[in-house]
Amino acid sequence: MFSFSCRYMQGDLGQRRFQRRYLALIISLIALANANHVVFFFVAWLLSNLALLFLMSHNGTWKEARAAALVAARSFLLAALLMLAAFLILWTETGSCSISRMVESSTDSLQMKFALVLLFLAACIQSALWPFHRWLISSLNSPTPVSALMHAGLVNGGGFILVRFAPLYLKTQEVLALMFVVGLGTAISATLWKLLQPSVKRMLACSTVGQMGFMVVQCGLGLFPAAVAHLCLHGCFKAYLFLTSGAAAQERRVVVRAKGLSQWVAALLSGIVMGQSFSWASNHPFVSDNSTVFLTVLACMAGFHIALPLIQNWRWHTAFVVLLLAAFAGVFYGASVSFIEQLFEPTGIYQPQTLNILHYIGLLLLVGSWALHQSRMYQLLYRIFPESMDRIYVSSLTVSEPHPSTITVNRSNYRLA
Amino acid sequence: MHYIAEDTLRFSSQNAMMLEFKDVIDRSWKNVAPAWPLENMVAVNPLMGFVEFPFSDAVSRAASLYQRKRWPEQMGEINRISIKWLQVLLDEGQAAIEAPGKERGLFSAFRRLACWDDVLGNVAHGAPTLKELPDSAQDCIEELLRRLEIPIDQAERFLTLILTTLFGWSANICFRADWMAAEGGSECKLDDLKCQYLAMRLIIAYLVWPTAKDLLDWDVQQGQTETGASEGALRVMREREAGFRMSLLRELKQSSAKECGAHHPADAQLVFCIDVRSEPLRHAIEQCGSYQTFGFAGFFGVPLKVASCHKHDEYSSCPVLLKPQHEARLQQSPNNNLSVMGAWGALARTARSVYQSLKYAFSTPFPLAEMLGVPALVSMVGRVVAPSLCPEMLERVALSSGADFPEICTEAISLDDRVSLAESALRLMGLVDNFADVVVLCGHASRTTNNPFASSLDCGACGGRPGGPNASVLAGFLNQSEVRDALAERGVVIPSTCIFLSALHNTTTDSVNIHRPQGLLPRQHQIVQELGHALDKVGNKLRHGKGLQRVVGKRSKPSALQACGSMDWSEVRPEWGLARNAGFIVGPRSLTKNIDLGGRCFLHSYEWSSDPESQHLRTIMTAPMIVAHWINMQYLFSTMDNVAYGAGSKITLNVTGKFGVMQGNGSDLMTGLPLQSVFVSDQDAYHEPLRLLVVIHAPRDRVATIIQEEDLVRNLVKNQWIHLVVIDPHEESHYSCDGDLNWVEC
Repeated sequence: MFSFSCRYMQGDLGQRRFQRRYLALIISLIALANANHVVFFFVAWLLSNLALLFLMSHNGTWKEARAAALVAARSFLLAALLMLAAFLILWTETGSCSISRMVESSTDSLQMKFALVLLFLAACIQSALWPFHRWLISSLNSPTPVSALMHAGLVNGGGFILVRFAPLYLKTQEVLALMFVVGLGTAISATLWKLLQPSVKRMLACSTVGQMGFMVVQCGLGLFPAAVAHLCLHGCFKAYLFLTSGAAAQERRVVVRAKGLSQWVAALLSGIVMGQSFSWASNHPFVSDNSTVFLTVLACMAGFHIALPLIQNWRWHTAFVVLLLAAFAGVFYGASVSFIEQLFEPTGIYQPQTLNILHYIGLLLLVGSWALHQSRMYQLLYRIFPESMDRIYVSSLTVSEPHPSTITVNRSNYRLA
Repeated sequence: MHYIAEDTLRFSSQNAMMLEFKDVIDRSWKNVAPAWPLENMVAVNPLMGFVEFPFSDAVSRAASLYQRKRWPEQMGEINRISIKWLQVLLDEGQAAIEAPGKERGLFSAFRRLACWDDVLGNVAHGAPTLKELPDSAQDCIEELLRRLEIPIDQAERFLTLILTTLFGWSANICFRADWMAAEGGSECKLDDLKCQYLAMRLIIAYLVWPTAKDLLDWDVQQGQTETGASEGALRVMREREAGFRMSLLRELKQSSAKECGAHHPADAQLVFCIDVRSEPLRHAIEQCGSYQTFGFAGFFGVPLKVASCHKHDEYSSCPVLLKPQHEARLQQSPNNNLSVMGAWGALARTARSVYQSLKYAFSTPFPLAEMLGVPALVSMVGRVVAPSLCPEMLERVALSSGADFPEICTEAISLDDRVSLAESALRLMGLVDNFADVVVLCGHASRTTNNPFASSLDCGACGGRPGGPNASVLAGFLNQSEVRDALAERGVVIPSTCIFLSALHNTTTDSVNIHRPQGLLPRQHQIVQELGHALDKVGNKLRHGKGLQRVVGKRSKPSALQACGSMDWSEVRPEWGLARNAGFIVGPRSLTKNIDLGGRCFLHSYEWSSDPESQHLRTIMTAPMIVAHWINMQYLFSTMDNVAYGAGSKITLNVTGKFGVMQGNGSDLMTGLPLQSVFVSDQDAYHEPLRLLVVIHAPRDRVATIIQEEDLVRNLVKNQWIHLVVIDPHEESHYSCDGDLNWVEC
């Protein structure tokens, strides 16, 4: 990314300044990842956010870019205060400043729980979860490489914090449930926002919010290593998408949907094959009563989509190809997830939870929203409740708008550096 | 200004009033120039609506509308809400879930949804007002002007201000209403889109700023305090124009003196587009052997509508001033190489379709991101280590399989049409005898990656599209024996030893790919081989020059990488396009052959002696010259004020709706060229803003007649939007035409 930005910013007045800050950001992120002492952790956290703020307002003469940095700064400040409070409580409760020691403590006081909730809120802000998503969606006034790094690195900070304190979270079921609910709500609603967006970068931003929501869902399910896998893999993916966002105008859209019963059956079959091979490769049971079932269900859905374009012109040998492809995709997917999970095996933060009623509702929502969109049932809903659907559309659009002060309302407000 | 006097209106009948009112609306749009979408970014003069004023006057008039630094505070909120709704209602396929009711048109969809808007729906009487307004957009405008208490004599100015406070989006609406239908867009009823847009803006203004009438007072107060380019900048421009003209004319004079009439028949004749990027290539290839070159509009006189077999869309490949009249269908050929490509293409399409169906759905983006994380990482590392490796490999495959030249089916075009197209093209380019054994028609296209402005680098004469299909079609016609027979009857005899080939000039890398069909004669085969080698050599030389150019004023050394950065995804200046264009020379190549014009001139071949009726000259002055003038103005204004007339810096651009770009989170639609197309760095311009200097080699009275008869040309010359110089073949001196249309010796 750094090398991308070198050529990308060629001729820019503040190119050198930009490169220095960009490097500073990368270094502070690395420091953050390796910090164990809370003070060191906190300082690295502050530094990385500070570097980001400077990068966001790279074009300092552009008022709206400064405004976007200000919106982010307010969020970061709140997050930092929450985190500071949480660390103070943890310190007084456990009497230790080292994160690895803190998480070993077995105190189960109300104060601990409160501290964990505070920490979770700080993570929500950093990872731009609803209702703290505004700063991320407003951040697109920054140069493209900054957005790429922000979506690949900085927003992961929230998830990273949760994983660092995972052993404590695993002991507090209530906070896990809170994570699950907030994460799921964000995941589903941000996916809806994403599908409504007409501009490519804002679509990517909404998509990141949704992905972060899903990552928190994974944390809430006790699948912390899966969450780390998601952070890393999504980071690479999203950075790539941002860097190539210039090609959005040339992208041709061909979205296929399942038509007719036979296609549904065939695609579902392919989905089951992919789910099976995923569970084989990732060493999760295919059917179980614990939370890994979320991952296999998603793999099944992916298998469904892989089959769709191929079965449009159905022939017998395509069936073979489809099943093979689905199996292969499942193995590949399972392997990349389980690789990262293996790395975290010794830390003991992989504790799938037994499914409860909340989880079943969540699963139903994930599958239901997908099926509603896939089967075009929402068109039927439109016919029955046009007004409420309009209302849902407009409010989703409004809630996914950037902060008003960060939109360049008059053309002349935009300034070249 | 034609204001409608209040009393005339009061006493006129209802019907006449409606008509006049429509007139007011139409006139409010006259200052807005259309802006083409990213798909085919045709260059236009952003000050098109001001050509009836002298250039410097027009610049300051436009400045009072477009370059104002401050607007009343309430306009900001009005614009913000407009931008929000315009994005979703004009979207062309980016959003996976479209706005409900979008198909019913801008105005009605807006009214339906705005009731729930967080601002519009909540202001006092917001929702009821939206419901009770008249259903027709035009009535709605009238009603709102009445409610806002805008006097009828000021209505036009008020509407103009409503348009120009968000003029990028207005320009896009102007394109959709006036040009999209003409280009064969599927949209059925666009004529009242302008009314719908105005009505929408007025509704927002009325609800957010009930005393929007103050905008008029504010406009008067501000007056014309802000002039666009300062008088000093214009003076500098005039001086530089004079300098460029002096040196060009001096060189032309010397060169034509040197010219000795000895013509030995050329091995090959190459016809290039008039584009300024053809000129260095022509100059270089002529030095390499016995090659003769011509300049001609890159659509080769064939106004095509190109339809492809996989992509569902079709497009016009001709200047926007023309309507496509003939359809060409690109075909998947059974040819062996192509079927391999076809298989790969089918695979790529399937993969893309899987990807998109996972991406634009609920829940599945989560596993998608996890599955593609590793491939994305590998690809990123690959593109950083060897930025052009993968795309270049793909390009090689494409070149070897002839993807530049898909088989084109033109059976729908009748023989008569084919003959007349061929004849007029040959006569216009002045190639009617002395045919060489090989004649190459060379279209051009650019090849860049990750570039929203890719189409602005394609062929302007093809309406912002690659010129390959047009060249292929004309070459095909000229090789058909029945066409040649008919041409011979009309006096153009093409010898049987002559073959027409099509070629594609990649302007980004300056490589030329000649289409080599089966069954060439040995002699032709040999010529094509040699020509191919010569073009490779020339391409390398020019690429090297480009590498040097790209690093003008920088410390870094030109490297091989920079020289062919066309496929580097982080390259924001893949090529300089038509930057530095300054001249348009109409005449035989002998006039310019010995001069290195430095890629600054459009060259159109023209032989005055074979055009006694000046019919060809008229075509040149009313079509290619206008296209060149628009390009010239696009570059000029994008350089003069990149915020108002350009698109700003690429590094913060955000593509919206697949048709336009905004800055960052959201802004006015940024029309024009980005900073990186015309500037070397934030401070140093690469393009030198000069008005087009048109040099015509023809008798003065003929040119004068055309200027008298063609209004548009007369306006441009009289108001000094272009400078015109005539090189009269009968006289020694050059004459320039001044603002009073008098001829001055120069």
